[in-house]
Amino acid sequence: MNPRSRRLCLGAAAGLLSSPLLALSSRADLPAPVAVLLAVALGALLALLAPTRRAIVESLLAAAALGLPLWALLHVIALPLLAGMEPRWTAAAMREVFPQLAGWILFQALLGWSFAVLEALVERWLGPAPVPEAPPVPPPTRILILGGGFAGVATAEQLERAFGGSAEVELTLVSETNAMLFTPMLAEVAASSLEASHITSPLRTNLRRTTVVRGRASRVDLALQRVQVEAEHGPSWQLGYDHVVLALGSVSNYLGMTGVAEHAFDFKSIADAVAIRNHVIDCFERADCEVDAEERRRLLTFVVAGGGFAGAELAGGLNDFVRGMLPYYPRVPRDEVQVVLVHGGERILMELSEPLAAYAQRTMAARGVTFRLKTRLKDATADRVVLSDGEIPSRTLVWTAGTAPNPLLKTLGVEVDKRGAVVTEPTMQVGKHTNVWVLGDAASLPNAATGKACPPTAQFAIRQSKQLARNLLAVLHGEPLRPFRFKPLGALCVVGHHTACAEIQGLRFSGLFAWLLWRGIYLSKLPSLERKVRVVFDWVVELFFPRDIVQTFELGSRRGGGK
Amino acid sequence: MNALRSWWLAPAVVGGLGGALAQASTNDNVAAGAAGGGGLALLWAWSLRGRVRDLGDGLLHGLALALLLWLSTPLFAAWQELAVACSCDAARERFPELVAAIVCYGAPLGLALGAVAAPPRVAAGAHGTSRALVVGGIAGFAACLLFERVAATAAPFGPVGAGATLRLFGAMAIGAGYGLLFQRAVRGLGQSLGFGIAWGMLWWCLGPLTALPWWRGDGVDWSAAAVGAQYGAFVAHVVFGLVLGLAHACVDKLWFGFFVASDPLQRDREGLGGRAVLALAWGALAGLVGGVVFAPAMWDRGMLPYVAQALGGSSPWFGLAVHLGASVLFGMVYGLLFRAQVLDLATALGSGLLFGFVLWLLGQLTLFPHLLGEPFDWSLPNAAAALPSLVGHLVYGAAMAFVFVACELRHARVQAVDPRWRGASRALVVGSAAPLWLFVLGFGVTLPVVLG
Repeated sequence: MNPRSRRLCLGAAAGLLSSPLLALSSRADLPAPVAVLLAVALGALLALLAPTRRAIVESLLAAAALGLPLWALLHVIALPLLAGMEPRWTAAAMREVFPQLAGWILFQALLGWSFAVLEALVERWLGPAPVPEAPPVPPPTRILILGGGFAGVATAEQLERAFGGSAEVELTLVSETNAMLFTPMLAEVAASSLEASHITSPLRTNLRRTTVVRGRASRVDLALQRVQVEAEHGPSWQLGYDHVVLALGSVSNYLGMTGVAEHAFDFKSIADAVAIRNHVIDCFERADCEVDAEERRRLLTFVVAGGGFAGAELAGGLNDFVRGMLPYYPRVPRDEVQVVLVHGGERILMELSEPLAAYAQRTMAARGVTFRLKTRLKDATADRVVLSDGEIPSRTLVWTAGTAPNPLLKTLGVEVDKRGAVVTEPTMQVGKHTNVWVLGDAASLPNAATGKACPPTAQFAIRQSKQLARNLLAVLHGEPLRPFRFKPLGALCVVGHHTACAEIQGLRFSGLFAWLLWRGIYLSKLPSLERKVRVVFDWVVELFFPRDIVQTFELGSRRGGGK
Repeated sequence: MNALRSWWLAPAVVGGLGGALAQASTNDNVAAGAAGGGGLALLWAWSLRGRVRDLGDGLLHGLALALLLWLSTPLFAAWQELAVACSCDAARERFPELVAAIVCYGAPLGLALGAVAAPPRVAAGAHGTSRALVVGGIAGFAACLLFERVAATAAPFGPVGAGATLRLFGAMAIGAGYGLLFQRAVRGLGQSLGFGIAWGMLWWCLGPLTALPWWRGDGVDWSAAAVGAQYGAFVAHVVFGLVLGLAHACVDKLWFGFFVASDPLQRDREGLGGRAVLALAWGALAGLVGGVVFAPAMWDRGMLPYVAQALGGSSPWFGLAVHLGASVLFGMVYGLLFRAQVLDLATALGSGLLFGFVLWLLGQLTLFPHLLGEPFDWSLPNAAAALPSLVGHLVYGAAMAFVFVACELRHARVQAVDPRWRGASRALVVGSAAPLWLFVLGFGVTLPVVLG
């Protein structure tokens, strides 16, 4: 007899032994056979509820404490209701059933005592119940997620949620950084409005059961189901998988312009944003003591290439930052400061409707941003930016104009689209490789709601991660898979102080309300309460004090972090 | 000295003396009381040997034994008189025996059990006598101040019943005593609240029922009629006790958090803020479920329009909304008080019932009349009239606790596969939980039923 059955039998026996007390005390309400049956059932229940053996007094008191609720449930509420009467909960009615209260507490005490005594006696006579051999546990399914951006981290979180405490899977995330960057607030870091680390979430704190590996996936062997991971400092090693999720994101695409690649700042990582901020402050420090007017002009001209969300938000934030710094650099001429946004299209913010984009452009221009539209970047050197229609003398160029899916995807040997993203099934699996899943910027994934390919945005990546987790769970449980289907909610873009544009479900908002909407929505999306508190604190501090113009790390490198 | 520290000698002697004293205070059979008390104490101490951890734990076991002893007295009656002996009227007549069992027998025996206990080893800095005295004293002071400000007019409170200054000192002494007895046992706010209530109940027996009349020279009267007249003081002591328990846990947690847990080497893995947010969310859900379970009874009793009046409305639907809103709010309070303390259904049930009892005292008997613009009344007739509401609050507490513990269990399952929790132990309430629930709920519910 296994321990559970033995405990059940002992519980029932203890109930039978104690039943006379219950039958006696409840004889006014319960016929004796019912009371005996109830006592046996409660004994068995007690054995089930107490998962381990308790000391005699502990068992007695714990069971006795349950006497009161059982009395209230049965004699005060249930039995009168079953008899079609009002519950006996007035003082007078409860006094009538007081003997039953005492009886229940004593019956339960006796039940707890006799159960513990019986258990101790049986164990002494027969020895401990043989523990049945546990069935062999199958090894967990290894799910490997490549990429620590929005898509990768959201997938890990969704998988943690989907599998809960189940040991059937083992989750591993490979990320080049040990934190996830919340990119919608990146421009605020470059503009010194937010502390850099406050918009990043540490993966090891936020992910509960996922093993985090810091490194870069350099090769994926789909046939052998192995991934080669390169550590920044140290040897490379291989990780095996049963299912791999490719959330490798995108990299900057300079469209073959080597001068731009060499001299422009990227705007993708936290280190990029900090580098831009430090470089801008450095330009002001140098301009403050620069006697050559031409050189000073170059130092004070900041060029942003690209009129999408990232470019517009950065230009707007940078413009506020540099113009807000001017009072602390009294020798820097106000009219020499320029923030220029270069964009190849006819208008900025193609993702928004034309009136909103026009509003954004108008507002930014009124605050001092210069626009060079229908203009393409041709080249860049250390002190000038070459455009299709001229040149801008400048020592600062930030590139936000082009990205491409991670080049590793092209080495997989699967179908990719013209951008280089992996063409996937609507379920996010890759053709015949049903254990390979792709999402985010790395995927060319049809949206079942619209029939079009999903755009490479965080909004889609997060929704894809939910569906991917559901589908992976379905695969492991042998259930049908569902295609990705999502109707975009809208878009938000902040372009300066108290100024933003929002288009949500066809409704357009602009100005202060849109700005509040932007802050509220993105604050709610920022992972972890701790980071939310820090960001709100930064915003409140910014209300009362000037922006921080301290240079925070050694200068001298063009790229963030000295890369 | 070694014999005094043995598990049997001190409890047997104290039990014998206590039994004799209890018998002397209620009838003349002192020798039988001494023999029976000593024998039972010996049996109880043998059953508990190695199980009692400290003074507070021992006291609760003693009090629970006293209640069980009183409840089981009718079983010794002759068969043909059993029905009469078990009745509520007989219980009223035997009421002095209950107070005697608590004051003369259960409490001293419990302290003796605790005194001979070998306390478990704990981490450095976890406990300290000076901390217990200071924190307990501060908590007693705070609880007394709050009580004097809010409820002194409703019911007398204080061990000596004298002027405010003396009451304050008395409360500080009671608080310091609480710190000494329960500091080691307290694992969380909710548990401390329960200990505080038990401590308040004991002081009600020791103070207004015993020491105060003796001090005044009125003679000690433990009869049901005399005790019923002191029911307001009972509620006052319970409220004082729960405030004391809460204040002690808060101050002690603050002390522990500042001096011990703030050390990066000892930090909580999830962080205080994260755990609190989880507890609030689960508590809100659990409270809503509890409120929904409680709502049909309130509708049936026609209570919802009265609930609506508390916020200036009159419609039962508005009352229902207020009731559900309050249920969610109180659920969140429960979550904050009892998070990470109950991880099985039985202790969840105990904590939920205790919380329901507290809500009845604070909500139904105190806050609700206040919101209706009426003075609150802690007298026995009023409490007896509110008994249906007590049942409802107990059901609410139990349902809420079940949902809450289900959320906690789910979280615990995730923690089981979370590598950060490897080697970490949970602050599960064990040991003192069962005697605490039994004494507080048994005594708290029995009083208005028997005396009312």
